[in-house]
Amino acid sequence: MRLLVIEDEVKLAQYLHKGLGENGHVVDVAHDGIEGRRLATGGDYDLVLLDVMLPGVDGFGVLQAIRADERPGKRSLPVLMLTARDRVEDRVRGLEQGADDYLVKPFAFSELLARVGALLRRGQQAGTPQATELHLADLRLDLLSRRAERGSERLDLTAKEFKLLALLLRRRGQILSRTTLAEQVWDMNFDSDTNIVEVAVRRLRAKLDDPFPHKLLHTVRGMGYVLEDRAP
Amino acid sequence: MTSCPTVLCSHSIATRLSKKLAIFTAIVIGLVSAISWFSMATMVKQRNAQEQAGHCDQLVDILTLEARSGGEPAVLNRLIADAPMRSNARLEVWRADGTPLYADAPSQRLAQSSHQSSHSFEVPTPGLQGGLLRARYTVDFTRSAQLGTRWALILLGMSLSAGVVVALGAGWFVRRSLAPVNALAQQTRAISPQLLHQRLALADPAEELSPWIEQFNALMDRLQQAYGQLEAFNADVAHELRTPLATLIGETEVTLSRERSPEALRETLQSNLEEMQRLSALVNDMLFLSQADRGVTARRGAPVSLANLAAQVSEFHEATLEDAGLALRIEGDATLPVDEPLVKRALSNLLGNATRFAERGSTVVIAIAPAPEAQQVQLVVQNRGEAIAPDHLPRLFDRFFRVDSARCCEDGQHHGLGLAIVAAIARMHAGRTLAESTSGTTKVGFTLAT
Repeated sequence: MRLLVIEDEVKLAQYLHKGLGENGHVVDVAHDGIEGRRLATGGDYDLVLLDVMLPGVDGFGVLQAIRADERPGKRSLPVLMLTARDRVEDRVRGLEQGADDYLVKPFAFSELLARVGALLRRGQQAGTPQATELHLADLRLDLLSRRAERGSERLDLTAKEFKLLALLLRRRGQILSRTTLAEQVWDMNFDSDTNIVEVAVRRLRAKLDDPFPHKLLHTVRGMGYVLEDRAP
Repeated sequence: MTSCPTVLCSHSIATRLSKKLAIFTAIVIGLVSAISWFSMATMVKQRNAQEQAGHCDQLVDILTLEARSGGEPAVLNRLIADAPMRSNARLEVWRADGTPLYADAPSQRLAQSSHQSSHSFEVPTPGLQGGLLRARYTVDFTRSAQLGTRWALILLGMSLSAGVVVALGAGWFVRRSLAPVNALAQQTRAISPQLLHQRLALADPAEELSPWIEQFNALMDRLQQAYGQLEAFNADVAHELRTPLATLIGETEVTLSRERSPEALRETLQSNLEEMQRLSALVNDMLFLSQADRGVTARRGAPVSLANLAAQVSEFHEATLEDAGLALRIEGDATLPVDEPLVKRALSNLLGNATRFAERGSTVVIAIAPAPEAQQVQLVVQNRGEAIAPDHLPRLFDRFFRVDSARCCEDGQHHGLGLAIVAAIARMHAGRTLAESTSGTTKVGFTLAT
């Protein structure tokens, strides 16, 4: 996927370039609003990461140019706004002017990766119905009957544990932070006591992995959790 | 004065008061003077008129007598003889047929004077031709009028100078009476962050100033307390940040001090990441508190059921509650517009605390009920467990306050801002916090204005 990062903070832009590149994206970087506007409206990108505070033209200006450039029939370019100010007005303004999502600086890289992934998927999956069954190795989740099985054994999960597992499974291979999990599974939109998510994951793991030799749910220290089928 | 901005435009109480008193005094004295002057002038006028009439009567008597005894020559003689006695007056006499008989020499003063009064009368003289004489008696009142004018000037001068004297005197007295205000200003000027303990006091307290001084001193008490808390908070923040930073630095130094395997390096980076995320969480919480301190209020949405919010939060805590062997019950409900994420956050913090301190096997209760105050709803989380000392209860919501640092939890998870955040959220909803701990049941909660 081709991404454009418009960010004037050099160190942050560098690490975004490196981190996103290592996650399989082709990344271009613009350090000011004018260059960013030129690239965003001229190049063929799948997503733009756009800082609000930029020299030259600010993020809102670039966003307007991107939206003005779009023609009917052409797929809308997803824009993820990065705002340094934790100000509701900025977020509301960004979303009103056509940003697809926003992230408040400072943010965890895993969080950024998750949102980028979600936006790119949204672009691809538009129109295709959601799968009703999810698989990973011998794990099978039926989203309609809310059944979870490993091999032939049924897992006895609570409603929230099922939701947690479904989220991890849908985003398999992606590291999900505790904050993301708290937000997506329990609708807790604040920096919560991370211990609570830890305990919930531990209890899920006790049902999902403990009885089986092949482990699927992995902890990435300091970042979060990932569900993937790793070679033993 | 016209160029100064309205807010900064000030005036001197002394100047204003003395000006007003002066004008008032001048007006009052002026009025009194004017009344007395007019009544005096009327009296003088009446007396002059009476005098003139008296003289005329006398003249009639004398001339009648002379005419009877000596005829016209006697009358003429008498008139000439008496002429020097009429210094301020002029007498003219005509015979009955209109021919002049006699006239006093016309005096220049009388001719110029505008203050004169003439009186014409007839003198019955049976012996003379025509039987009568006609006379005109003119009196000059210039001196009397001059006296009146002088009096008027004296009275006017008195009124004005009384005004000036009152102005000066009042100014002086007012300035003297306001001296305590200046003293207070000087004392206030001396108060600085280093001398916050200073209070205002007057050697000779004035009744009018006492409430002001009391209020100011009470304000200073509150400020001093807040300032003290802020300083303690700063010290706490520095301490809270220093420990993890020292760990980070030390760990990184040790790791870099010799060749390490990639696994060992990864281990260090991961451990550092955990530490840095704790720091980040701490800073985020402090930012949240500072926003609340700056008076940011809750963004209330549509009315929601608090029991419903409590149920969502308890679902979030399901695993930790089960781990701690605790049951949970939600009692009561209320529907009101609140900032949902904030209330959930506050409830989550309270529930987290209750979970840590509750006795194993007991039930944690979230109780929603009308608060004792009007227009307030209270949310209280209660748990069975070791009581909190009464002197600790009021400090429970202070930043970085821990009831017992040994009892809880140097695992770095709980940095002691949880309940301070609850208090901030209550404040943002125009509510307050509440805490009690009796016979093994601890209740901690907050209220929300409806």
